[in-house]
Amino acid sequence: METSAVVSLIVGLLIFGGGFLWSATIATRKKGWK
Amino acid sequence: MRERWTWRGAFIVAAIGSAVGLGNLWRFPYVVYDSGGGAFLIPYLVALLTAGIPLMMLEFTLGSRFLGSAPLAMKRAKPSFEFVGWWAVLAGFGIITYYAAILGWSLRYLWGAFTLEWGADAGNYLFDKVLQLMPVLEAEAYGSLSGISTELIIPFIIGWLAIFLVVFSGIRGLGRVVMVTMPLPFLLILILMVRGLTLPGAVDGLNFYLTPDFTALANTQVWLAAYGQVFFTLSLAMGILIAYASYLPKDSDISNNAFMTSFADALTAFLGGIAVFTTLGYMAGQLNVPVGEVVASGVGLAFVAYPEAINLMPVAPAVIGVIFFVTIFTLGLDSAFSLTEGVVSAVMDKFSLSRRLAAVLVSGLAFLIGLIFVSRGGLLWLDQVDHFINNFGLVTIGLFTCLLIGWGYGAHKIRDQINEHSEVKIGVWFDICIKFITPIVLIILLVLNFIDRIQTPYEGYPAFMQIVGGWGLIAFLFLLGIIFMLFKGRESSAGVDDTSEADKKEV
Repeated sequence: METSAVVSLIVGLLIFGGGFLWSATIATRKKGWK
Repeated sequence: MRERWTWRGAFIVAAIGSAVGLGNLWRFPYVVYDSGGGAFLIPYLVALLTAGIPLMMLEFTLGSRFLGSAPLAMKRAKPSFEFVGWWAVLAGFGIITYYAAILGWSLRYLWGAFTLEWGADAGNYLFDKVLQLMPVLEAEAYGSLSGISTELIIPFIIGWLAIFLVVFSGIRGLGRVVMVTMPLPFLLILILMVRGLTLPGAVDGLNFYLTPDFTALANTQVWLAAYGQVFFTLSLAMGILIAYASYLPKDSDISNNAFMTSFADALTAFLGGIAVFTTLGYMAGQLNVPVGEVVASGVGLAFVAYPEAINLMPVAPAVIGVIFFVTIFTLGLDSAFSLTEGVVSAVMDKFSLSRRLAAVLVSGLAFLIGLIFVSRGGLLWLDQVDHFINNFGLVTIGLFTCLLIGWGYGAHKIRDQINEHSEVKIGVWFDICIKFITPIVLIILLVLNFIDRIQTPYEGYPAFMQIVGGWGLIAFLFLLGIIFMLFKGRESSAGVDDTSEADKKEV
């Protein structure tokens, strides 16, 4: 696989997956899910 | 007394389920491939942060602050704004009439997947057997309905029964159902992705999908594609998010809810792209052709290219087929619930109807109109109506929402209301996005689409289709929105709390 495609894959996962985990973590830590 | 989500998680899952739809699997991957590959992630993230998330926060705030469906929430912001709420609801109604037809297709394909019924020529299977469109095309009778497709009517009815029963059961019932129908397609996409990644040729597909072309960033069309994709994927301007948020408690964390929903939507689309392109890479390898020759999007991807790729699977192709069409069906189902709920809640608010009666009326009318789209000539009408509602209807509604709320009501008031109960505080950038960036982008999209359509009729369809399913339809929906606003309903003023800190500051 081309290096630039691998980098894009990792960056995409970090941005979108990381963004979701970051916001879900805030939800869990602060206001909670109730 | 307004209904309430049983817990915050139900709202989040329902909002994600609404945003994550068919477009995540059949549109996003193609747009990425077509707009610079991995480089497209940059404009997409920018569009998400400057248009998608701010507009989603705005809609969540309107719903939770004014405790009403889109028309009622807009009316409570300022009485003369009600028509925009109706435009959004009517556009959502228009979409659900044909969206349910696509659910019917996916159910029909799910049935056929057990035996790989589509055979070697999936295109012929779709157009001739399932849609029964070929006689219409051969006779060049564009616009003719030519009777209902006998293959689609039963799946269409089953799809509508599922939508109706869930909306009929109320917000609590919907909250329970989406706990299954939202995570399920996500898990199935993961399974399809793992299957795709383990196939020979997957790397070629991924290279096609993600190899960045940074010169694309200099192309205005790529940036507009990013804003267009963000706008269409997040269920904005359809009255859905306002209705869903109206069932939230007032102290909800709006900014966090919006971030979570938007990133979950983007993540699903990104992973969906991996599932699609690894499989297409494999297919290209098996056929000994470049990946570019098998790449497709929309209906062509889901109902022609992917089934043909399934035929070539080395192990248990029928299982992959079933998984894929369960994914397609459940992806669309949550979005269908939300579209119907947006209309039902507006009808309940305006006419003081019970949920059950509103659900019967809305679902019944949408079902009857939807018969057009399961007719033999229905695909052409679906294509026409979808193009105009998306590119002219939703873009105009989004523009008016930004202008009226941003300038007329006050973006700063919305921001204050968001910050009252949110952990992540929103800065003045929110005002800039709502008052300037998003409207400017939407105006550009609208003007470009308009010029395009004036120069060439969409898909070369005949003039009466352009009028009835295009310009006339949009004009009719907008006129109907104004009539609904002028019609004095029977909604009560109960439920609005005028004691928020943001309002006190205004006094």
